[in-house]
Amino acid sequence: MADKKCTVYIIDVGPTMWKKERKQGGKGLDLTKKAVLTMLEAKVNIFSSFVENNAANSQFDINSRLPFCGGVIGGLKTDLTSLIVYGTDETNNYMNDESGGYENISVLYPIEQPKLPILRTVNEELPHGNQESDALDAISLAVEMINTHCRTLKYTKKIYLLTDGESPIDRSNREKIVEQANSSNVELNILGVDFDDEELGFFENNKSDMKKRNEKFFRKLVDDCQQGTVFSMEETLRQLSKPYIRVVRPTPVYKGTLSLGDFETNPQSSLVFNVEMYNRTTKAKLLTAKKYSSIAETSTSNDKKTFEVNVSKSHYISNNNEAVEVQMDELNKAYILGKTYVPVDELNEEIFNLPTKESMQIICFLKSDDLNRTYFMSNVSAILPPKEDPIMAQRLSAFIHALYEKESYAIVRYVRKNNETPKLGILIPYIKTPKECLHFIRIAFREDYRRFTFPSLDRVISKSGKQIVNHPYLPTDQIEYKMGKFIEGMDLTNSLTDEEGKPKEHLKVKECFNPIIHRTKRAICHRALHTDESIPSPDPEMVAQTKLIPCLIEKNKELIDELREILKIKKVIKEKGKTGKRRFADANRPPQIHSLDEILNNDELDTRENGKRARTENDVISDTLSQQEIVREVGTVDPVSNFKAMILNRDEDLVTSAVEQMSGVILHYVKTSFGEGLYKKAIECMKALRQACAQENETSRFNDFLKELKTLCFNSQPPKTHFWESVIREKISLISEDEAPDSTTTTQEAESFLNDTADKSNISAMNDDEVATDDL
Amino acid sequence: MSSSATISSWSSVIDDQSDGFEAEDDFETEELRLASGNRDAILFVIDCSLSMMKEDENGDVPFRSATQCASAVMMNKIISANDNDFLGVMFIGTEKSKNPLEKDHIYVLQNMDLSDIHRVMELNEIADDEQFDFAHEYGITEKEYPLGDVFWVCSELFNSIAASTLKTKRIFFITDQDNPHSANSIFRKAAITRARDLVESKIEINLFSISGADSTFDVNAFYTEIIPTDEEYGDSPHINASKNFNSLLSQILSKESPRRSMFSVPFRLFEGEGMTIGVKGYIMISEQKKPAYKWVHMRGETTRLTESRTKLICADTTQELLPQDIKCCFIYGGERVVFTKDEMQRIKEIGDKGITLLGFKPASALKVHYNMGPPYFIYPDEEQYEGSRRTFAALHKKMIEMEKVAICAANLRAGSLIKFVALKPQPELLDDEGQQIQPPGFTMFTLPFADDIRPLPPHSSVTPGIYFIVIYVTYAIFPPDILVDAIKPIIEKLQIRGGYDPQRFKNPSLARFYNVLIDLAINRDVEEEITDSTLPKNSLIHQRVGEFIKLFNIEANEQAKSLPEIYTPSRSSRSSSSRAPKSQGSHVDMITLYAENKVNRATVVQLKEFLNSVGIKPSGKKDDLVNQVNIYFESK
Repeated sequence: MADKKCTVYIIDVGPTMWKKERKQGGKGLDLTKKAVLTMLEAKVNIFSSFVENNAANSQFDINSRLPFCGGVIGGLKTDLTSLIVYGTDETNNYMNDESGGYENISVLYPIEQPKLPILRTVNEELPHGNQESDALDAISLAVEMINTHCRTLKYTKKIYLLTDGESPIDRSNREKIVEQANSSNVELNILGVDFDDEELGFFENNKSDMKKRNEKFFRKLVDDCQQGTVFSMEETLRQLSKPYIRVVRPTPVYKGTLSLGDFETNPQSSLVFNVEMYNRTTKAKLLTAKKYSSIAETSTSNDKKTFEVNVSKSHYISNNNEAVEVQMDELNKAYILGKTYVPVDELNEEIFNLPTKESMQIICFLKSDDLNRTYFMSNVSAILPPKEDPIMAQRLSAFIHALYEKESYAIVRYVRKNNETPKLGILIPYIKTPKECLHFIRIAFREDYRRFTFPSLDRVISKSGKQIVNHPYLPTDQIEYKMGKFIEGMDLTNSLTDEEGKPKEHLKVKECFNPIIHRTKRAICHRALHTDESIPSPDPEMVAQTKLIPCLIEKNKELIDELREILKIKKVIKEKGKTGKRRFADANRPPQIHSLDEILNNDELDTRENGKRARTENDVISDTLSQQEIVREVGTVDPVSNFKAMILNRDEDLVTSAVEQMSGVILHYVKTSFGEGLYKKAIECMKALRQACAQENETSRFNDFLKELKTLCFNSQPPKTHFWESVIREKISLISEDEAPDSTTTTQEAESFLNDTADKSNISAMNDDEVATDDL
Repeated sequence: MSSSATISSWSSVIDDQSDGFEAEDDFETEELRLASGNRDAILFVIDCSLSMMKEDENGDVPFRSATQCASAVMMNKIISANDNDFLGVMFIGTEKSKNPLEKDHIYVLQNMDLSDIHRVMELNEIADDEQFDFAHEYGITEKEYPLGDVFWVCSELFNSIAASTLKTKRIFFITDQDNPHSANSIFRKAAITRARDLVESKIEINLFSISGADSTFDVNAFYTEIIPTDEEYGDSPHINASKNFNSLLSQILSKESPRRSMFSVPFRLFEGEGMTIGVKGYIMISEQKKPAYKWVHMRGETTRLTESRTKLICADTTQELLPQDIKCCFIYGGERVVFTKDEMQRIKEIGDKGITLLGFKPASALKVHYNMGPPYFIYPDEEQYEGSRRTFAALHKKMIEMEKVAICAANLRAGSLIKFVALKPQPELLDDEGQQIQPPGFTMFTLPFADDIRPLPPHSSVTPGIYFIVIYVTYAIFPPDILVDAIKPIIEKLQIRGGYDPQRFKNPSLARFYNVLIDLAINRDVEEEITDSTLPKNSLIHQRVGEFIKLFNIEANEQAKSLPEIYTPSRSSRSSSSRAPKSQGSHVDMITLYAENKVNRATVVQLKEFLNSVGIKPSGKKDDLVNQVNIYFESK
């Protein structure tokens, strides 16, 4: 059960809040706005898709399990907020409607799950009030609202009051408010603009008497409340700038026994611990986005748009060199063993699986020094005794301590659930008073481990088997000595100091946040409120962590100069031949991709060879697949992949052939397209073609092709002007000399060629004809 | 399997395009990609002379062992999905001959081809079947035949492979003849010439030598002439595999997969020019899983693998979408927030490709529970920067001496996500015979971010919390010594020596899967039983430590009685422990204990913690620690 939270933000919007310029920059309301926005952002949900969410029903939902899973990073449905402003010209709250006495206070959002509008309001539309209104009235209203909403249900209830304390307060209500807050268990926090802060050493000198009195009053008020604090706005903003990590409710990954010996047959002489296992490290996932169709954006249909993208998967086989789509119900599952297909009997799939029982069994122990960490292959989990079982806790604790004192680890066989695959793991005792547990990490099976050998780093053996002492691969004594100094100089445990001047370890794991996760969150929040602005830059502090700290640079400068002298590292300049023609290939070498036809062609040959074997076996049909898999043709099924494969062929130069064939395929598409069906595909091909031509010195071929295409678009019957429009939209212009050195087309020419209207193109086509006639 | 690789890689290409942000460091796919792009070809050349057919003292026949190795390598290729690689098997010294050049005494059993289960079975039959009479089937010659011809045929076989993506071509030459043409200088010369031709055409010869019972294999007698040491790497292609079958197998398997680097990046030791070297990263540990099944079409004369294609359809307009029509969208506060794929990519771009050294920490700073997955192995790369190796070697050596780890920020590929890593130097280890069992280099561990660490959930029932409240004396929070001591003999008696060797444990579910698959493939009755080496040997455990466990169980029940009746709920235990910081507690108590002459009642952990806190390095057993504490106070 997640903790339910109910938070009310009260913002002072009286005249001093938006008129008075503050020392730290901006007006009081600006600072307030920033603080509330940051607090709210952490509470607003981010999903990868819409979920049924009805705030009105949330009261009833919170007792059931969370109705959605995955994708949530921000707050939860049980995290409710409300926004109240006071000092407004209007009055809008139900307490005033009922009994009066709560003037100039407006409830902008009732207690509900926060959505984007509340963020927008805080960001852009906070009213500027001209009235002085009583902060205590607003607090009283907030407590009342919380009580009405939460009734006797268990909530974490908080009020944040943001004010500069410049409006008069009727102190007679003080006792009542404290009473109310304490009896309903509400935490009252006052975030004061220009309030004093001893810790930060922040003092404002020119305070009005009113502010001085109020500040004192607030401190007293909060002291009387059981929970609550007064923060200066400085401190608030500083605290809020720290990255926010979503707290994950711990759920055990395994709940069962840890045992040694067979406790079913020999209960007395076997060791059994009841345990629970929790993740200790686990990769925090990046937010995953949903696919969004930009075509729907431009579509003019008036229906309610979903912008969703459906994924459909289809299967093809070859039939006489043509790709034929086949239906799923005509297909069988099969495993592949070398060149042999083994069809799977779906009724009997279980036969492949090893039956296992949920368990964690100790196989043996080993000395901690004898285990090479290289074999670790997973994240880390922690094994703990079950909750509220002191007897088990004592037993397990004895085991942990015995392992610790014997400096030993245990090797275990772990099956998480019945019939899941067994894993090997290592148990490592961890004691850091008062915490103790066993850490569990998976280790490699034989199949997971690949042994490589590498040449020695400290010996070079000559051809005749002699050991060479002086070799460029071997460091000199001087290099080693200086390297030692370098390692000392670059120590991270003592190069920084804390406030008290004690050495402070830099880059502690717990202080290094994943800059990308936090940047993604920031970007989403930012984009939600500022649709037109570009994405915010990453958190400068987090980026600084990924760089060398300046004090180390300073400290080691001279040593580095000396090292540079003796190390003599030189960048290897690759030969021209390698980088020239094959630049495209080096830049993006995708997997080998073959056309279907290609495989099928060979398939036929091979089947003939292997036909005998294939027919003699009933259930198993062996097919030999092609060894010959050089793609030499750009087909029409997946031309882009074929094309790329040809361009990337590093053993044979197929570039020119690929370019010619691709041009042909595109022209074919455009000519034969029924309606606009093939246009998209053609555009996709053109992009690949253009990119490759620019990189592979085939500019003239591309430019010629594009001219031919343009002529085709405008001179065919009926004209294919729609297609040319998409070419313009995609900016597939002639390759200009800026892009490729072998081009003779200027950027301007390229542009005007693209955008010249149909008429002109016709004319130019005619001109071409004339020239041709002249030549005759 | 060419087309299978095609399908998976193809669909992954499409997925990458349509979804711009799940491209984390997916080196598994990278590996597959590399494997299909850089194929390997191995030709086994097995000497079939009479001496190879003789049983050695272990009862192994070297020839059979060699054939088994070929079978094991082929099976490995099938299982590890490196099934794009070529393998061939050739016998030499046979009476019969079969080879493209029609040379005598050379029998090409299996041409260079992709691995297949039927080929494995054929090899197994020759290697394992007691009934199999090699002399009868293939014959054994005692004539001297020119080794040059063997190399010539090898070259011919390699040339027959038409695949364009072949990266490595290797001959695994297994023989016990150290001087084949001792008396025939013409044959000898011809052999040397032919062998050098092989080297010229980038075909590598790996020699696995087998010593007979009464003679040791002298590599200098002949083979040093033809197998050049790779000067660049200093790797010797001669492997002495004389000990037994297992050593031959492990030597061959260690050579089986050609080293393929996962990434090749600059390693920036410091800012500015001249302090950046090149390194390559390798994966030595990677989880082998059951392969995914494929969809095949069986309604024709032949079974055909299908290719799949994913289409993206706009739900509103039903138009087919191209990758560029796709944007990315989050639902934030109930509304859509949209980014282009470029923007999503830019959000992830922090840092430059490569590894940036940030500084050093003591080796102990790399705590065991800071682990996120298998490590990478890092080795210097002279091809990027000249001088990388000596710089790397110096750093490596000094870090081992000074017991340091290097903390770095790493972007291992263009477009991959930044992370923090720790580089731990791994010293080179050799076995008695000088063969490398652990290569020198850095192991690179991915460190968790603060975001990746989960706090231990409240576990008040682990003794410390409860006792702390109830009794309020620090030393009592630990389990009674008597219980701890009762476990110790159990640990001692079940300790394995020599550390953890993954060779000892086969993955039982993979074994079951492939057993069944092979049985089905060759139409054999399915044998469901497998030997599961991971099951604990319960009878042995019972026999060795049964009595000790009994004692522990009795003692534990006894101790359980004295557990406090009042069970304090977790909430108050948490709040009060936060009021009294722990470290102070143990310190103060130690003084009290000393005053009462009861230091021995503290636990080993407490003693160690205390000693550490006063700057004394704890050493020895509990009694020694007690002594250390007493001495500390006496000296005060």
